[in-house]
Amino acid sequence: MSPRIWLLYLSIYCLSIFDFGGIAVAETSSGQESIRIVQLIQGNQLRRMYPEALTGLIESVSTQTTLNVDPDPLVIESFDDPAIFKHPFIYVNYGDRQDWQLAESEKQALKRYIERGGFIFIDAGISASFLGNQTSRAQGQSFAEWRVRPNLAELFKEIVPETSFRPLPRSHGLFRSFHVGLPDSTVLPDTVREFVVNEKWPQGSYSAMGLEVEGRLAVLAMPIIAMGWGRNEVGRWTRSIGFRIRESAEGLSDRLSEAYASGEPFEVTREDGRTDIIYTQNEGMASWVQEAGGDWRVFQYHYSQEISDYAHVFYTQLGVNIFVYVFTQ
Amino acid sequence: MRFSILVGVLFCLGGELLLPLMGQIVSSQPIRTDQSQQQATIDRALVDLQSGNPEIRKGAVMLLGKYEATEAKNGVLGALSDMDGAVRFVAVVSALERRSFDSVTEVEAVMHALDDTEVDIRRSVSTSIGRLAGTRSQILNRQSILVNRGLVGQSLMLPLPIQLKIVNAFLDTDVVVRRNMISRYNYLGINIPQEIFVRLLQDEDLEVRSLVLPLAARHLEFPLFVEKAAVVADDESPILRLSLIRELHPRSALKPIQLLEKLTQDSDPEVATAAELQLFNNAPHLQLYKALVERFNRGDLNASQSERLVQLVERLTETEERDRFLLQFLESPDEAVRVAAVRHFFQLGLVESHPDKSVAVLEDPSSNVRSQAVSYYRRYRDKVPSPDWRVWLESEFKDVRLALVRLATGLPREEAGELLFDLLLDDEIDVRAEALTMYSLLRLDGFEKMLEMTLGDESVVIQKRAVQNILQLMGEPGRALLEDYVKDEGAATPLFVYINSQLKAPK
Repeated sequence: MSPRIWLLYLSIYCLSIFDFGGIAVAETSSGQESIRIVQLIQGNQLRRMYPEALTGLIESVSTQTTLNVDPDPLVIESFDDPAIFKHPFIYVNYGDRQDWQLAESEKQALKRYIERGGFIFIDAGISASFLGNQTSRAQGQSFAEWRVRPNLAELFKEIVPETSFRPLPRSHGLFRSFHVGLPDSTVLPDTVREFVVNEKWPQGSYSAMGLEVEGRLAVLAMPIIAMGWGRNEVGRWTRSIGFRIRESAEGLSDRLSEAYASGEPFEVTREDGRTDIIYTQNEGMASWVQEAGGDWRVFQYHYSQEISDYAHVFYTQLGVNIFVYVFTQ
Repeated sequence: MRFSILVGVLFCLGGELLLPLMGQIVSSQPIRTDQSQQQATIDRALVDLQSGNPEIRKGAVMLLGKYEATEAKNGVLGALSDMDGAVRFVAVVSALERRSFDSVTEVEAVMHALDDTEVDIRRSVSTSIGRLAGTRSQILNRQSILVNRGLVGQSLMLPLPIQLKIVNAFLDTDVVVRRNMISRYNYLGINIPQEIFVRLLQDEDLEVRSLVLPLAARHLEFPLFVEKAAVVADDESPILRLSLIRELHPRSALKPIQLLEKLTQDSDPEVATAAELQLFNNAPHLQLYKALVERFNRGDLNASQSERLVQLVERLTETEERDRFLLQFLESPDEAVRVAAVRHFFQLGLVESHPDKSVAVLEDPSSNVRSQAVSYYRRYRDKVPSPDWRVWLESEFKDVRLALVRLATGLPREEAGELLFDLLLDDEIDVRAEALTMYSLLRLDGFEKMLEMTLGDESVVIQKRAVQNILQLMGEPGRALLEDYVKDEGAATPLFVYINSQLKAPK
């Protein structure tokens, strides 16, 4: 039996053991059982972040794997919508909810949802402090930090006090659940490739914080990845994505240590818990970094078609891995 | 930003110049620490930029790229000509990292790197070439507006050396550069020589060939395009051959018959059929259409080809045959085919000769088909000889009955009254509500009494509609009628509450 067929059986098995008191799988028009993803959007749906993203990812999941996912997500406006208990996966972009002060009924609903095996993926649930609180900047840039937004940490501490968010190690199974490793990086410029392969996304991993409940990953937060999922009607990627690369050169560390930065310095947390200090200029773009190990490096922003395409392939691969992991863990 | 800096500079200068005149002893302003720190950083980097070690120069460019000061920008732009490729690459990345450019010179300096020997540099610049060209135009337009509105758009031409580099970049040895250039062609504002298009039609890369095909069709003279595109007819990719066929539509007297005839012999049946459809479009011929219809009947045409076949029926000059095909398409199980067919059925005026069909389409299971008929009746009711409105009235589809309500406006009053009266008894509430409104708007006999009676309808929707019509159409007597109704009924029913709210609302 091929691994993909196993995947289908596993996913159906996993769905069947969810005890939501309702149906965990829905039927598509073709009569096949399918998984329906719940998407939380508070307020005007037309103004949601990356409107084509989730449907684009679902299409990729359906194309690349044997998971049968309903192409139309079920949109809810609040976590206390009883519909969540019929579906095991909630996707929410942090920016699609203005007010993360949840009502008591929502907290209770989420607690029950998590206890009953539900999974929540909070896209942009991590946002480096130097990106500020403006939705546009925090949505437009993903920066690898290993710390969820403080309000989310507090919120879930109330909901599931017995546990808290922890970094997902690079070796976590989520990063190898379907796609293993990075896409072919030979198209990237040398300096970019070196950083991407060794530091940015080693072995196809990504900055991620997880909340485990009874040994199961129940809540996942990442820096924004939705920008890499959307395609237009003719199948082309809808966004242009650039890379922020850390680069150094002989003598640069000394120069940077005494260089003038007009913006405030910000601390960001590394995977190992140590901190880097990010220096910014007026526009709020990260300019250089003093790393925990003592090195100083500059951020270079690379934009090219092959970089954008590469990023899309990776973010989609990562999204597919999340789906597969959730339904097979 | 620059303007504020200018104002700041003028202010400082003015302040110093004014001091002696004012006769006051004021200690000069101390230099701001952050400015001096920034200047010191830039100065050190500029010194590093002169180093014989390319690694030091590279670091200097990276650092200078983080500052908006003119000398920092100039340092980065100067490094675009560095002898070391890695330094130049860092300079290009730093320059493109900027969200805005202040001058045409800055933009053009980056555009010049389009022919760099380093492929990564050419890829970066070609990725941004559309943005650079657009930015340059914006800067020029802005300057022109400031100087003289009449100059807008007159000095946008790129300098010749850059134009040459752009043209050459279309034939770059690197496929990514070529793809970038073609996909951004429309943003460049220059015309490239026709032979470039011709050469790219034979590019080794399928994406390049696919991207350039529609551009070539638009920018080459049509006979030349047909001649040169012949090579695409032998392309290994059926997708490309299909794209070629799409471009071979007739243009006045120019008809690419030979090329299309060749493509009708294509080994891929989809390509061959597409070629036949396009051939018919260029040179309509009954026998060819018949052959296509036979293949349609066998299910050999895909969805879009089937729809196209129906659309092309109007090109037939043999009207009898044309109508026969059209009537056949109306019976197709494919909804899209029937929609296209019914549209042509009405457009070609077959209503008069086939009244039974014009009625039958109203009973089509597809609302898209029915809506074609309904909209035709709405626009061209006069062209329909004595339509049988009973068919509409008795239709099982609500949209048809609703359409009849709206059509009643143009009917003789007696006929309209009879039809609307029947529609007032419809099973669907919204049909009844619309019929009531239309009956009232037309002020047909006894409409006031009708509205009064409808206040007692079993449906709240109808009751409320009656209230609205009474207030809008009956004036003060209507208000009095409602006031009396409220007094007489007395009970706090939903209608009672609604009438009160409407009576209190401003007129």
